[in-house]
Amino acid sequence: MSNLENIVKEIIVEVLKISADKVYKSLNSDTIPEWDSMGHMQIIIKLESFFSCDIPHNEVAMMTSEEGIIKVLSNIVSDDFL
Amino acid sequence: MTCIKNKITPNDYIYLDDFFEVNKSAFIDSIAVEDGESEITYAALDKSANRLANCLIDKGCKPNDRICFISSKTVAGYKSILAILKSGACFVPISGEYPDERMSFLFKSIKPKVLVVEKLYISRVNEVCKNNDLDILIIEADGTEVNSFDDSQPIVMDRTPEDLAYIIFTSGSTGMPKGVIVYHRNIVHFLNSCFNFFNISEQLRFAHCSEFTFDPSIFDIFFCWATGGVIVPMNKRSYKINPFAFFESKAINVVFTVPSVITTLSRSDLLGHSSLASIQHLIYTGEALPTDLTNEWKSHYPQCQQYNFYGTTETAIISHWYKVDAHLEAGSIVPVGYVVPGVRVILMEDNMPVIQGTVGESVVCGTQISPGYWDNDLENNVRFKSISEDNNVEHKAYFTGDLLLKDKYGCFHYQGRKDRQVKVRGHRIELLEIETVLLSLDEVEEAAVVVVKNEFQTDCIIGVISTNNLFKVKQLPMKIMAMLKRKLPAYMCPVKIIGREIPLPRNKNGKIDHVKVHEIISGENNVES
Repeated sequence: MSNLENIVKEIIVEVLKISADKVYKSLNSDTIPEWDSMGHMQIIIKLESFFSCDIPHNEVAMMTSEEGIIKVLSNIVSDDFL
Repeated sequence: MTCIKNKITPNDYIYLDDFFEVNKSAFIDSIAVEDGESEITYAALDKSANRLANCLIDKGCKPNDRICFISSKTVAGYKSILAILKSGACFVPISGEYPDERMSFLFKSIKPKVLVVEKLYISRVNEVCKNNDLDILIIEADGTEVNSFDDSQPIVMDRTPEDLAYIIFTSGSTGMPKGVIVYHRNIVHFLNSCFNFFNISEQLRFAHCSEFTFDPSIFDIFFCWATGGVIVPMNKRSYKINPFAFFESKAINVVFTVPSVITTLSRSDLLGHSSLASIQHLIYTGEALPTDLTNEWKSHYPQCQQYNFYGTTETAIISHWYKVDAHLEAGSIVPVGYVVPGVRVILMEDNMPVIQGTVGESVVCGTQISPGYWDNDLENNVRFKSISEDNNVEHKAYFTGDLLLKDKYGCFHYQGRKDRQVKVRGHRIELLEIETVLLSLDEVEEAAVVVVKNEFQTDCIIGVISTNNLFKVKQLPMKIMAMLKRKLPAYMCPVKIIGREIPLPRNKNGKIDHVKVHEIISGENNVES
């Protein structure tokens, strides 16, 4: 698992306050009840704060899964996280 | 395609379920519901609902009995609503996502004859009933017992248009939700008016965006079925975050939604995409509608008719409507529009009608107003009162708390609220209900709840509490968030609780000054919890 994947998973778990037994291999909004539209925005704000970046609005809506987030962030964050 | 209104006269519809029954034979092999996992034709839905209705009648259900149903937006959920109405009883939608405490409160308040439950929620509902000593018959919507019943049309005796059609709970300022009673004649009047208002074709694909527990669902489902359409539920959480994924894959023709869904598409630079060109009727409700949004939509999709709908559950969904026919002045808000035929609106202040061009509280009379709240004299006395007009005839009227202004053309414009009720992402919320729950905690001395905008310009609920214990100031917010999630539905839970060791600001009357609270937290707030 890459550094970025680890960070993203940790942020999702922290923001949504998911208990350890719910941390599946792949986290997405359809399988995590806490990941509603408000939870989604909290994840985005935390990611922007952590990586000191602005995520474009048209990408925000696509980031509804761990994979989706990593795909978008891979093009935004510095190579140190990859 | 023939417009349905030419075939069917409004008098054919007496009960809400008639909006399915009257036309079903014309669309027998057409799809009635397509939920993403499965689909069902009008004929199959009819038979399936008949089985459940005959089962309910066998259990003793009759007109005015309340039947709670707990289901996600699946074929089983739509069948359950139809079946309950076919049995003559009244349906009460309860979200399977509600906390146990709220679910049991609603069961105790409604005293349902039966609970119709989707398989997904059976064990949870059983547990809630067991833990609260509630002895209520639970029927699994698609269970083997139901499927053993006859699929012929049930016969319901002694039915009248003044029977209960449904009860929908909304947020209550006393700290508990209140159930709005709607008679068949209330909702049938509104849906009948829709035939004259819309120039709608047969067999369109209707998006079902709201949850069963919100009344726009009633329009989506029954107006869709009356016109032989397909109901297509927006039933994945990811669709709410990324509505484009829903529209892209479902070829939707009719959408009834909050403006923020379309704003999300606009911010993502998706307006103009060919996948949205299938939308023929775009109906907004529940939030202020910026003219910039309707103008932008119109520039991309000039063939689509846009509407602004405004109303309350107490006025059978909608009391005012507005067709957005032209580009409107930029940077403004679309009016809530003209009064639906059969509804009367008087703008009042201090129990007197205001003069033309003055802001007043919207007071609604007429066929569509609810008989009142279920088992709630306190709220009934505040909201439903008799008023006397010029001819000294007394009318029952619903005092909405909304402030409106009527222009010289008879068009109404929303001006805000008289009280502290808010709408957040289309959900009607009494902030006092959240504050009451906060104050029920021993550690909380004072509580205030306000709505602020986050960096995406989306409304968020923030709670502020005071306590005299410094240790608690640091620890309490997390404990409170966990407690709120056990008592309130997710859409009512604040995204953040701020603890203060000093008292909250108060105005000269000694009441908490919510304006100052708002100013304080706007200065220090972000929506991270």
